[in-house]
Order: sequence, then structure tokens, then C-alpha cells
Amino acid sequence: MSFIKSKTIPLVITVIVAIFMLLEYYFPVPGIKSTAKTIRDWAVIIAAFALGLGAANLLRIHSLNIQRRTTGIWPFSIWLIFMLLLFFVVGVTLSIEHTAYKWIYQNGYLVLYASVFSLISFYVITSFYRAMSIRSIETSILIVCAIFAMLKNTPAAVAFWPGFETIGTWLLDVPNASVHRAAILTAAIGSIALSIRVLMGRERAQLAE
Amino acid sequence: MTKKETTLKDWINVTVILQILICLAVAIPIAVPIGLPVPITEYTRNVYNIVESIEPGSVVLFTNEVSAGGWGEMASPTTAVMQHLFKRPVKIVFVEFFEDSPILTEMALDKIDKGDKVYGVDYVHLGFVPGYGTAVAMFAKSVWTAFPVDYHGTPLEELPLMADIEDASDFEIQIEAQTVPAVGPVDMLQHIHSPYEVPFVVIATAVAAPGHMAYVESGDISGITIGVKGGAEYEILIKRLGAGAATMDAMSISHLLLIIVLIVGNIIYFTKRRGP
Amino acid sequence: MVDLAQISGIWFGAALNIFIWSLVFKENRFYRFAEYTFIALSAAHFSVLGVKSILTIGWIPLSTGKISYIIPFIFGFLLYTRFSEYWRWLSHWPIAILVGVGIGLGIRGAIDIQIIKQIRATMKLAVFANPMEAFNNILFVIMLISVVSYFIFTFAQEGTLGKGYNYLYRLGRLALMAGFGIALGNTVAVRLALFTSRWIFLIKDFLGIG
Repeated sequence: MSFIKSKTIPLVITVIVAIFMLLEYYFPVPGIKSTAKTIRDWAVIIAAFALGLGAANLLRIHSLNIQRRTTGIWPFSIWLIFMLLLFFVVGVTLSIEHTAYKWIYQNGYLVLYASVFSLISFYVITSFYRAMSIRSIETSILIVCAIFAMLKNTPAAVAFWPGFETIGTWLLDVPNASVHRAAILTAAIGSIALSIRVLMGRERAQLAE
Repeated sequence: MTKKETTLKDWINVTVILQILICLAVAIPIAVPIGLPVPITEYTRNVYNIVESIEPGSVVLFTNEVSAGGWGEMASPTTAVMQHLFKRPVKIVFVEFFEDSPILTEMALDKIDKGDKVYGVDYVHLGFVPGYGTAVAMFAKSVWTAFPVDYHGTPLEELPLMADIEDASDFEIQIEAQTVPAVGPVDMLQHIHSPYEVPFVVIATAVAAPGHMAYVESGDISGITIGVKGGAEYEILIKRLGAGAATMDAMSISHLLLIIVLIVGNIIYFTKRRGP
Repeated sequence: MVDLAQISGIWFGAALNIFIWSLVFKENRFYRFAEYTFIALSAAHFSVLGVKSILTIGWIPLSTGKISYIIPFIFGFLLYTRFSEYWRWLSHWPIAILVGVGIGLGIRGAIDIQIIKQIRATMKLAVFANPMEAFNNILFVIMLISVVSYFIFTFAQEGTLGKGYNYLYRLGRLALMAGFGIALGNTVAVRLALFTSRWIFLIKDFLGIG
């Protein structure tokens, strides 16, 4: 039983599945191709099951909050569970195309998501005033590039002097593309190295308890 | 211990003044539009030309990976490019690989003028498939396995447009709107563009655009529109002003305010540093 | 006739919007209410999409006779054993499949698109049409090499070679700063675009001005 419970079996599954995905690409013979396709189709179904994990975990944690009457939180936990179940039941029983689901999505979810993202604007302006000081060559390069990138994104400034567009585009096409290509190359090498470590069983974060 | 009363004086400080200023810089131009000019950039014009030059009768794959939070920025360019596609004699297949996106695609489809295009014959909305990169690979290999039915639950056999589509090679071009890092252009390049040689155009959010420029330089991404400004420019090109054009005055003034605040902040910093 | 659903939606949306923005003043109950609503709706939406996807890509083939599709269903349910301390080890099996597929697809895609094609594109920069293009290409390659060298931590920078390397390292840092600056400028554009879209909603839809 301890062998079945050990992390060896998941590791073997990971290696076999990864090898099939690689063999399908480099040695596309029919048997390998069809097996790889089947595994991939299964993985997508498993990923669909994974979409409910967040909700299940929230229900568990907030039920505990209510049970323990956690100070200052438990009334909100009741609300969270109510809203979660309401939206879920509406979506599953009436479909996501139903007016009721769209109403909650557009006036609740979308508004909240966009409001949270836009909240940062309040802090951007104060950080520009307090934190963006030219203290070294590095910060001066950062700030000058940021200013030109912002001027490029300002239609009125570009209309006033088209040179802002030219400079902004040059910055985006040459220094920026170069830096990002370096980041892409190094990140790709890093991700392959990490993948090899996972396949060798040296990296087991995905199997953490 | 007595609770300290918060007075008006406690509230008014530089932080609050700056926050009020940014609100005013955005709110006033929205309430009272100024009509500041919006020049067209080469990036946007290039995407317009690409869409304009798609062979009549071709099937275009339109993938949407915009989050609900990013829709405020992406509604304009996504809707504008979709509207342009509907004006052209091409067929369109809409697909989403991010959870938020299918309803956003429907919202955009509700807003645009579809002309004489018929659902199922000229355009199809297949909907969402989970799994991010894995789902993209699955879709590219077999469209029918990824979507036995479309977004509305109609079997693909009943949609004439889908009869000739088996895998990603059946698409003439792919256009992708994206904001989320979970799935995006890199997945599309890996699983659709590279193996099936499908030209790839990106409608990018401004924050992601710098990261895509290396692929634009290498030619893997054929065209890119950037953020709401790209959307406003596209609206001007297709002569149908919408959400993007409405934001441009506010974008101009708020950007200029931030640049002024940045410069003033630095002047104050240097003055204090040189002081006694 | 006044569209009640639309009006109530605008009022509900405006209230939630203002509740979220109230965090600017301080953490408060209205903000927390909106925050918990957001988390609930987000988790519910993902779950609904999960159920819908299971029915379309899993149940339809299974119900048409593809018995092998029972296997991903079993593995899918095993994911939920992670909430039980005794059965948690079973949830590692479906995760292993997801990780294996991700690694396999990731490695082959990264080699092709992120390494080979990017290096090939860089080598093409050796060809140029005019002095300006030549300058841009040279600058591109110098910055690329310097940034890549900035990320190499595997050997000590000593001796004459090390000194030269240190210059490259420093140049890499400056190049990265330029990249970060451009990214910062563009990040601001996104935040302001989202901020503007919320104000359009509040001023035009909610207040009916403009």
C-alpha cells in the first residue's frame, strides 16, 4: 500500500505522458500519434474537472468560517457561499446563455473584475509622484523610456509632434524587442531545464501535500 | 482611550489631491468631450491591411482570450476587428480558450452589424474548451474533438461552415485577442502557427504588447494592434466610432497629467536633495 | 417601457464599482462585501464552465459509445480527493497527467518557437538595407547578448575575461531597465484605459451625462 501511496507512481505517469507528447512531435508514427491524441483529449477533460476545485475549496474554507464564527468574517462567508451557489445553480440549470446568468456576469462579475483592475490607477499617480525619482543611470533610463512609451500612447501628444510616435515605435521595435527576445530565450531554456528536473523527479512541487 | 476625530485637514494631503486630479482628468473629458485628434499608427494600419487582403471565401479563426477585467480596454479593438471581418466576404469561426471569454464574444457579436452573414453558414461561435495550451493543441489537431457542439449546443454536423474544417490547417489566418497570461500568443504560435503555418495576428493589451514584439520582429506575428488606442484607430479606419474613440480624450489628458506629476515629483526630489 | 433589468443592473454595478474603489480611503465592510462577491462569482463562473465542458467534450463522446472516456472521468473525480487527508495521494495521479502533457507540449513548443525561430530571426539581422537599419540591428544584437549574459550565473567573473564580462553584464542591466521602462509606460496605459472604462460606465450609464 505504501508503494501505491508513494510519489513514484505519479512520477512514472508524468514521464510516460511527457514522452508520448514528445515522440508524437519528433517521431509521428500512427500508433504514437493516436495514443498521444487520446492522452491529450483525456487531459482536457481532467482540466475541465479541475475548474471546480477553486469553488470546492472556497466552500470548504468558508463553511469552516461559519461553523467557527470567525470574528469579522463569518457573515461575509455566508454571503460568499450564497452567491457562489446562486451563480452556479443559475449557470448549470438555466445555461450561461440565459438572461439571468448574463445579468449577474455583466453587472456583477465583469464590473467587479474591471473595478479591481482599475483601482491601481489611484496608486499609479501617487507612486509617480513619490517613487519615480531619478537616483541613478538605471532609474533615469527606466523613467525616460517610460515617458516616451507613455507619450506614444497619448494620441494628443502624437498629433502635436509625430516624433513621439517615431521614438516610441523605435523603442518598442528595437530595444524592447531585443530585451524581450533575450527574456524569451532564457525563459525557454529555464523552462526546459525545470521540465527535465520534474521528469527526473528532482522537482516535486506539483505533488506537494 | 478616546477615539481621535478625523478632520478635513487630515484628509487633504498630496495623495488625496493627486487622486482627485486623476479622477478629474478622466471624468471631465468623458462628460464634456473635447475631440482631440487620434493619429493612426503603422501597427494598426498594418492589421487593417491584413484583414482587408484576406482572400474572399477564406475561413478566419478568431480566438478570444480576454478576461472580464480586461474587457474595458479590449472591447474596442476586439469589436472593431470583428466588425471589419463581418464587412469582408470571409467566413469566421470564433473560439475561446479562457473561461471569461465566451460571454464577451457574445457581447461583442450582439453589438456589431452582421450585414447579410448567416450563423452556421458564414460564422460560427464554437465556445470554450478548458486546458489552456493543451486545449489549443487538441483543437489544432482536431476541431471536432474539441467541439462536438457549438456554443449554443448545436451539433457541428448541423453547421454547414464546419463541414470542411478538420484541423487548424483549414484556417486561412488566425486573429487573437488576448489579455490573460495563462493562455495566449505563445500557445497559438507553438500549436497552430508553427505546425500548420497559419498566419497570426494579435489584438494585444498594451501591457502585453512589449512582450510580443520579439515575435513581431521575427515575423511569427504578422500584425499587432495595441490596447484601446489601437482600438480607437481601428474604429476610425473602419469608419465606425465606438468605445475606443470615446476614451481617447480621457486617455490623452490622464497620460499628460501623469507625465507632469512625474516631472514635478523629480523637481521636488532634486530641490530637497540640494537643500540644506 | 423602462427596462427594469437594465436599470437594476446599472445600479447594482455602480454600487459594486464604488464599493471596490472605497478601498482608496481605507479597508471597510463595503469593500469586503464586494471583494467576497467577486471571489464567489469568479469561482462559480469557472465551475459552471467546467460542468458545461465536461458535458460537451466528455459526456457526449462517452454517451455515443466511446467507453474509454470513462478513464478521464475517474481521474477527474480523483482530483477532489485532495480534500480528504486519507485519500489525498490519489489526487496526484490526475495532476501527473496534466503536468506530463504540459511538459511534453511545452518542451517541443519552446524549442521550436522560443529558441530556434528566435535565434534564426536574430541571425537574419546580419542583412540590412541602409545605415539606420544597420545601427538598429547592431544595437539589437548587442542588447540581446548583454541581457542573455546578465542571466548567466553559472561561473565566476574573474580575470581579464571576467572584467570584459562585467561590462557586458552592466550593459545588460541598463538594457533591461530600458525594457522595464517601456513596459511601465504600457502598463500605465492599460490601467488608465480600465479606469476610463469604469468612469464611462459611471458618468454615461449611471448618471446619464454626456
